[in-house]
Amino acid sequence: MFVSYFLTPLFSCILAWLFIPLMRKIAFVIQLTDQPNRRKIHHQPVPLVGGIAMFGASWLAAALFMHQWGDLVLIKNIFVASFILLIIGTLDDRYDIRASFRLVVQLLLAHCVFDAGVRIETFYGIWGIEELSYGQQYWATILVITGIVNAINLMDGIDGLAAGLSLVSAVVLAIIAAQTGHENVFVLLLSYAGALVALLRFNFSRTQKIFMGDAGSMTLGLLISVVSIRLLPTGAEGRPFSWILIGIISILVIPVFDALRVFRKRLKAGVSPFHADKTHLHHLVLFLGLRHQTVSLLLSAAALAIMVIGFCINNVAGLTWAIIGMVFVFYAGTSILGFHHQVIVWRQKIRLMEMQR
Amino acid sequence: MNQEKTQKKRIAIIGTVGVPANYGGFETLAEHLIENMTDHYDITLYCSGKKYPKDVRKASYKNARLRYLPLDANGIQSIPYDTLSILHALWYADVLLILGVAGAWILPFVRLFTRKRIIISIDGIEWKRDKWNVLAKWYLFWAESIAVKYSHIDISDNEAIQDYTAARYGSLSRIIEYGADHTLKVPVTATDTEQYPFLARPYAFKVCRIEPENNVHLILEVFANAAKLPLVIVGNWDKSAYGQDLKNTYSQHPNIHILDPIYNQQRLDVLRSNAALYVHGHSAGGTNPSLVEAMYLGLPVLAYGVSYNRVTTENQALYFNNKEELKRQIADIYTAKLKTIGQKMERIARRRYTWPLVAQKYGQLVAESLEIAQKPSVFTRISRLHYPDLLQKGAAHLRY
Repeated sequence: MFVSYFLTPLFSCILAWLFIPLMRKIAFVIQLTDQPNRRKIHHQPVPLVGGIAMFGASWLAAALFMHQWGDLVLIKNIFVASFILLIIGTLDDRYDIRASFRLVVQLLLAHCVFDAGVRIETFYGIWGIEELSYGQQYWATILVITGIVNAINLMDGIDGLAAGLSLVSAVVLAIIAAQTGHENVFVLLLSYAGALVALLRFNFSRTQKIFMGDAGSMTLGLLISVVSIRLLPTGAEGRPFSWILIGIISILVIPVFDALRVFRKRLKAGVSPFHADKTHLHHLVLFLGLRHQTVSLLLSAAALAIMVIGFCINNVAGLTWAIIGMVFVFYAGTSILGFHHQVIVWRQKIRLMEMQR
Repeated sequence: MNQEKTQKKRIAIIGTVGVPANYGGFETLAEHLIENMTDHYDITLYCSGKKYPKDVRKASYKNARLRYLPLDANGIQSIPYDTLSILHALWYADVLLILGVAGAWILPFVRLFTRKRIIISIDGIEWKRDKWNVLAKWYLFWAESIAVKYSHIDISDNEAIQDYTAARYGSLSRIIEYGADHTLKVPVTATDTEQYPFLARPYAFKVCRIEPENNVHLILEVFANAAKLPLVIVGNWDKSAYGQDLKNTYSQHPNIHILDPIYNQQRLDVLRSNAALYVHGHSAGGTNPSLVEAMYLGLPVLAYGVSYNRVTTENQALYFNNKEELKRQIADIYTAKLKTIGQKMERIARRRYTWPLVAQKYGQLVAESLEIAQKPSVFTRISRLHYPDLLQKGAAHLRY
């Protein structure tokens, strides 16, 4: 059994490593590629097959190494929902379908997940809120799932970022799954972790570069959100659960709060919240002059750091303050980076103004 | 009531090292404001106790009261220096005239809790200067925004900086430059020639802080190989590794005369006013006092082609943007050309850069600050109206 816990990620990694080059070639034929433009950094078309390869490799490996068939309903639901999102995402990557259609699909899938019994039932006393009513459970679950799916999608802006953060999330959630006896979920997460390692290798490659595309980022978002909700402690398990909450919240702070921050700014500026620009957290970090790989690594490390901070505050001041602390650290960091960005932008503007007269 | 009406308004001048002026542009400005405004206003000026030891301190100077603080007016200490000056001035002043943005962080509270009028001069775009480290730049960048937002009137010393404040803040910044009529054309004596043999022949002159953004290295390199004119350059060479390197490289060069800082105005004017050409390499900082002084002395100017210098000289000087252009300009100069440019510079300076004019403008701003309720914006009122209303009335095309 323990041997399979090593073999699962290894196998999925090897499978993805084999799938990706093959799918790269197919991608160029069917034009499933990301075309360069003024806003993007790459200069050549890049295949958008990382998500498909990762999906295939992860689920194949997971199917091979899952021991028991308990929790099968949850696994099947995740598979079906992920598969649907994979198709929608691939169509979007190829044909650029409307955002509203994608959102409707996400909402429907979130509804199905709720219907299958995966739901947020309580707020665990955060801000004094305990059990939620049925309606509140519904809307909280829908909001969280669609929010996280889109947040991870928005994080996919530079090489290795969405994959790196998702890898951190998969590992943290896998630890939580192992500790709480969700064995099949644990195997599934290990499988995804292995495939993500392979994906990162090709994502960072100069000669064989691939992107995961919306197909990959949305399926990862769905996996993370559904598993996170599933692993939320029910209180009947009889063990301290704040560490679980902190682990889950910490991996979501960066993608979710960055999306909220950017949406707020765009709305304040009078533009659509989905208007593409360069104001995400990873753009702000790039302004420090770092390479993509370094930025991705830094932000993944930042997610872990936020978790550690959350644990420390929780030990001293409890769960609510731990959450406030984690969010505060995020906003302090983004404020400093945003400030630095403004300084750089104005320095460039002034240089132009100085040479114009 | 009559006594209230005739009582002079009280102004606190904050942010300078102090008077008598020995240190720089703001100090010279402060001294001339005192000279020209104490008839109409009751002025108190804050000075740095670190630069004016107890034995030289005065209770008043040219009818202005002096107050000393045991802090440096520059560097990191400028923040508490300006802050404490502002807090002290709140007890008596009607108008706070603040030179520099170091203490700007406290201005929101001043506006919130008092009815004091705030006039602030933001100097050049200080946060952009290479001499500051990252944290200092960040603080000045933020402080500048606070200064402009929470002052009743903000002052730039250059039209190019006014463009910047309009673009960044939407603020209608007032332009008040510097005076230069304190400088003198001093004839050369035999003693001077004995001390400075280069005075016997035409030479180019430059006086500045020895910093990379003043293009000192570029100018030295070109003049080292320029046969036409030797270069006399005065600056604080030993203050930095950059300056020390340049001094070591060029001090023995036959065409370059490197001099340490000269604080005596007359000695400086001897060297400057008798130059054949003034070279100005500043690339930052708005209107530079040394440039306007050179203009007032009727020197032909060869300046770095940045917007601030062009605005200061009304695009009538000679300009360079790189080594090649500087070489070309030097090669093309001749006496008649230099004479014409010098005359133009002098006419501009006499029209724009005199202390009575500067003091008059400050006086007008003080009077205005006491009357205005709100700082004017560069945006028209129409741009602040509700867009759908404008659209309905067929006036949406007028919106900024």
